[in-house]
Amino acid sequence: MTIWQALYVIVPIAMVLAVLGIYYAYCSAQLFRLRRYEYWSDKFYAAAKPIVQCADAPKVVIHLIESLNEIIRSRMAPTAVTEVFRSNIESPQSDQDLQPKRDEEFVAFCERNPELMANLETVVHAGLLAASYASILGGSQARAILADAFSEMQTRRFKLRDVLDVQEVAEKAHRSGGLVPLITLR
Amino acid sequence: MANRIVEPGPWVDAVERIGLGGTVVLILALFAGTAFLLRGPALLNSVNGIINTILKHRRENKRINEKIASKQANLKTALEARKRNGRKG
Repeated sequence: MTIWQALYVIVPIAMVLAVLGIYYAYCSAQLFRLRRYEYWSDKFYAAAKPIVQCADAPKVVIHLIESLNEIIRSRMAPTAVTEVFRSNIESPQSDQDLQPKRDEEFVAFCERNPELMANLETVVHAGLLAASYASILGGSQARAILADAFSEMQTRRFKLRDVLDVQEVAEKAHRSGGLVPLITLR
Repeated sequence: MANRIVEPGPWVDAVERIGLGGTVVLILALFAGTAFLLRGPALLNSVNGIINTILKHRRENKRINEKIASKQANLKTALEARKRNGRKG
């Protein structure tokens, strides 16, 4: 047997092992993603249910839930999350710009249903995180940007109310309009 | 003394007989065999783990996507029912 004939035996075996190794790594990464995807989407749906059932939930909150529900299974969702939040981080708004327009309906809802505030916060966080796990492509980057954005919000927690525009995320993921800008009070 | 022919020995004869390629394959096969003898159960366990991960991935991918699709449809229905009932949103 010449060395070339030996290579005909060794190279295919090495290639099969390499492909198997790569596929195994891919499956492990996907399994992790799926587990987190299930976890965050369960949290999102559990938190959204009482709000949807609440008769006086304001329009902005219902549209927020609707938007997140639309993007949660979109393959483009992680990319859209990255694009929207990156542009927000790169062009930080002044404190003045971040003062939300006072939404009387929303304020009244918050005052009447303080027990739903935790649900609202979970809806935003879990919805965006679940969307970031919708696809393996771009997911890590989306979560890095979300970590940055959430930390930024946390530092402002007692100073300002944060305004999140989920419409842009939904439009980028779905290329469809009709969703309103959404205000999330912290 | 200087003109003395050195005997190549049995190893070189064997290599000449099976060829260089055969020798490489034989050495690799011996390594694989030795590894299997020394760490056989661990190797089989690894292979088993790889197969389980691949099969679990196929199973979970289907189950989780179906579960989320169903929850998504349920919430969509609830939101539409809310609109039909004349509530806000």
